[in-house]
Amino acid sequence: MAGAGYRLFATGDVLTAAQVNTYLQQQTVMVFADSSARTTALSGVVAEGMVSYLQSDDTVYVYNGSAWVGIANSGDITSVGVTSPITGGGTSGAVTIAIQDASTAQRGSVQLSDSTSTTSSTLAATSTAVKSAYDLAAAAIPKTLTTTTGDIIYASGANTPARLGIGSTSQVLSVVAGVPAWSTPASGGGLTLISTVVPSASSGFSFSSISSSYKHLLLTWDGILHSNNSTAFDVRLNANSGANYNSMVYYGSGTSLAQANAGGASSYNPTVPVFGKNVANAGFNNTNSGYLWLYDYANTSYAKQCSGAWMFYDSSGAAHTQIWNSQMTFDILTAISSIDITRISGAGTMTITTNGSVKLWGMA
Amino acid sequence: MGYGVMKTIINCENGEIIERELSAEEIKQQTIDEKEYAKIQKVETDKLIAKQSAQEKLAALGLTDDEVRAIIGA
Repeated sequence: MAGAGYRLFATGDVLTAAQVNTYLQQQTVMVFADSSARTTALSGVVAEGMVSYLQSDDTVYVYNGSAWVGIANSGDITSVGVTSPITGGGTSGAVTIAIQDASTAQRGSVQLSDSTSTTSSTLAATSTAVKSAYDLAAAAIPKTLTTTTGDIIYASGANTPARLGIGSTSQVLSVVAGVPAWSTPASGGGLTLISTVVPSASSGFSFSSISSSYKHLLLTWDGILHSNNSTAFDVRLNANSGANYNSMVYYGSGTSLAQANAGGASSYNPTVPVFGKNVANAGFNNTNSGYLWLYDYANTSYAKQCSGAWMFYDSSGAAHTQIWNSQMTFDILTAISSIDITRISGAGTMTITTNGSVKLWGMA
Repeated sequence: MGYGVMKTIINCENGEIIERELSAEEIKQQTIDEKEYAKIQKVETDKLIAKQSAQEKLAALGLTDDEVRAIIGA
């Protein structure tokens, strides 16, 4: 009968029908009630390759030399399917699968990197790299610190950025209690550059439409060179050609010092004689440089006072430096609104040497 | 009407720069200036000549250079 178990026959044994039926035919697959029964029955004789069937779980087992292995459900995987980024798969035999590399166009596996400077688009940042970047960002000055056009960021203490809001028009940056601050400058005294001219082969030029908003005017010049000795340039105010320029001029020439009133040396009365004559030796130290103040030029109640000084190297053959100092009144009550640098002699021109210029300034 | 002599006008109010020829009036004034300036120059030259002459005459009288300078200046 099935389940009789195992019998070891000896040489010379005569098998009965029952034994053949029971031990051979009926036990091609040994049938046991459960694994315990199988263990009991086969104790000491179990061998690799034996096949058994357990009634308790209706499963066929094969002894593989070390254990009984159930074979009832083996082989139920019939296909390995994959989708990107997994590649490979199959329906039979050895099946291989892999993960393709990731890119900006493809999901996949990525390599980690601690770098905070790489520009790779295939590496992935580690927490180490992210923290490095985070630490830098956390230590940076936030752009939200500024709120208004013109705001300035400064340090109110070590490692402490602070905002300095834009100041008002004409305010200047100064230091108050050790930190930057906008402050309003004391009124008066400041010079404003009104205009700059760099004459080149000029026969004359004019500053016109001068604002009356300043207190004084200052004309400065340097590097002026005439194209020949016979040419002279002077200054004329408001294009006024009357005998209204009363000057007292002191000038040093060589080793001598001289003085001239209006109408005297080079002080033609209808002009201010500042741009001189015989200024034709090239070289900056030979050119005419100087200044002329026009005080309270915008007043309309009294004559204007002027003073100036200038120097140049006399190129007429006297071969020495001339130094001029002039005090003058312009006996006109109207405000000065134009300054002409006009040629009063000769046909030569005026040029500025390197770095020179003629500038008109207004003093508040 | 052109006179060939150019003048640059810098408008300090708006920064505009204009290059133009001198007007007839300006040319006329320039002619006057030239003459008047020449007169002044001649006066100055005459003064220098007279000074030089005086120095020479004083020296001829036996005055030293220091004495001459004491009289007529440097």
